[in-house]
Amino acid sequence: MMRFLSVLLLLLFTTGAHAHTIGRSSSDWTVADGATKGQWVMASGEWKSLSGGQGADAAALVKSFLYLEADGQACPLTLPVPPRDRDGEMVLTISAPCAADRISFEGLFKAAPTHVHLLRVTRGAGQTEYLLTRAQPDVSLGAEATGGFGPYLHLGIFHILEGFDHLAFLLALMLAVRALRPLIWCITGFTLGHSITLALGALGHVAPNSAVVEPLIAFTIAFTVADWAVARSAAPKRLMTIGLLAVAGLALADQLTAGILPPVVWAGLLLMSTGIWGISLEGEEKAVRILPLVTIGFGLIHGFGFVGVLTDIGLPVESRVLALFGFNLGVEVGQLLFLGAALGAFALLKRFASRLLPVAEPVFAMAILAVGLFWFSERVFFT
Amino acid sequence: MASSLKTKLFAASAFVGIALAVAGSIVAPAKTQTPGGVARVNGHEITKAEYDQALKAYAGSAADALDAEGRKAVLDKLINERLLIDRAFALGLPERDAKVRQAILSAMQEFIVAEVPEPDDATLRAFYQAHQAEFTPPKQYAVRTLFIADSRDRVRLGRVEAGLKARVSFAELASKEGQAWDGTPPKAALPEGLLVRKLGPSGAAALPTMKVGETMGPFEAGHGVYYLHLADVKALPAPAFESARTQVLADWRRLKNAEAMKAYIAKLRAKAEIDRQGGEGTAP
Repeated sequence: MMRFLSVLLLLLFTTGAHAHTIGRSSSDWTVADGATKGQWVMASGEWKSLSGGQGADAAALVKSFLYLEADGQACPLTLPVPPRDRDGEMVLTISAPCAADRISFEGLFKAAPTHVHLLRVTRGAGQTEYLLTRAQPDVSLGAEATGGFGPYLHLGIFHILEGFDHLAFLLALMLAVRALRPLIWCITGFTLGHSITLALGALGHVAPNSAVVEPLIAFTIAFTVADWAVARSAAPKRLMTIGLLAVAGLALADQLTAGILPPVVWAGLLLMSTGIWGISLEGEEKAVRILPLVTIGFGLIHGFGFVGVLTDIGLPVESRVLALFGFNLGVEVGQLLFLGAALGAFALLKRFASRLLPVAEPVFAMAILAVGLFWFSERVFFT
Repeated sequence: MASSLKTKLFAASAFVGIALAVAGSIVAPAKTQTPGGVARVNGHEITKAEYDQALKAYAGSAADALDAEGRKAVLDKLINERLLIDRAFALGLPERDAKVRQAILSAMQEFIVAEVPEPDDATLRAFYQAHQAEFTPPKQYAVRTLFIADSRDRVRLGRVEAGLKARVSFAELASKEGQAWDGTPPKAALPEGLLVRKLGPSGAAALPTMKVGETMGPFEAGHGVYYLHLADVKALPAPAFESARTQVLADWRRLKNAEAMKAYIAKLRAKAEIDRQGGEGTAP
């Protein structure tokens, strides 16, 4: 058990810098007048990761990732404009002196197997979109679009299962809410919350600030474990005071250094901590009643985190709502798969090694708390 | 405090807190207009400064008194201009139209050299010291010539050569054997650059190598030839800095502008991907 926890902790810490390891990018191509021109856009961080840092030869790198073909012949690629950083996004302008009929990102998926790419191609009056992954790294441009419900469902599942911070929050929630029925209510609240903000963000009605959202997601993890600790502590008031002082200390440190989180957010976190931990002091019954509502709020924050992936890739113009629905459903499916596995593992542990539970539970809680605080500190103080 | 009230207060605190955290994580909606802007066209802002400048250009000192209709007309003009500029870029005019291309190139050159700072007095003086030779007037040569109208006139040529060998004075020889020539230089001392017009390139080029009193020739001049005699050389001193200041400043600017252009182009080249198709323009 201890070994398992150590491995889990190591895994979570080592993936700390990028809690989501899926790379995302999109490209727009126009095939006209015997030439193919495209613009490939990805987060600058993703480009750095793909290019292995500074000094890489962009043209050579693009040629190793991307392959265009016309009538069975390879099209020579050029970058007529040097790659440029546009507000944190790397923009690669590519052209080829042929009317491509096949585009392949096989090289990209070899280098980054979890990368997901949305390809938009304009030929004549029509535009077609394809979602490319390692499973489908290339496309013949006459083929039917693959950017609708199915691929986005797959992307949603993929995203949640690779999103260690969301999984860590679910584990923290499982720790704080032990009974199945309240847990179902909490998960429902979380789902409702993130569905709302995911839809609002993905459809462009609100624009989440990822620099604030990412630390807040980490905060919800540490906070949920702290709530569990306050509810079960022999000296809950003292623990709550320590917790509030810790939050105030972090707020002060942030404001005196990078100032990543706005004061209004810190004020909100202090109020929220006081309120939720205060209710926890009043007994488990009240705490359990309010938690589903709290998880709606946390879901709103995590939903903003999910928006990031769709912002990087974009939604297909023709089927935005369907793709969004697919992605959200994928997130739910992934979430349920993970919860099912975690509950199964817990049931097995309870059945075959129940004597370990009194030790495993606090160790597990401390591990999740440490991971949450680590991610939070990293995203606030070491960005 | 009653327990239920306390719970309600805690719950209110929790929800307000979450609401603040969620609200604080949303980016403020992009303003359609920044404080310094008066309009936005296809995402491009027309600044207040541009607008004020256009108002002044339109109405001069009466810009402030312009009525709402007039102000709207000025802003509409700016918007129309922006639309046309955007369209020109969309049509690729900078690539296709030589005049537009040249105007852009000139504007870029002005933009680049505008970054060059004005030199202070010490910089100019140091520059003058380092390049003093370039500000010193060139040497002036007082020359005499002996022209023979027909280069095949071996008899006359022979007499001249014999006279030169016998060290007959050049003035005497010229008055005796020399013929009329419209290329005869004036007697006053002149710089080499001016003498070249009279003497032609070969004769003028010989001047810096000659000593005062020396005679060289014959040099070809049309159908005839001439002998060149250096009567005097005047080396003028370098001018005082103050009297050359304008020229020093102009030269300093020319040099620095060229350096700024070179550095700017080098930066662009470093970032650019230049592929010389088929090796065109590359060194053999």
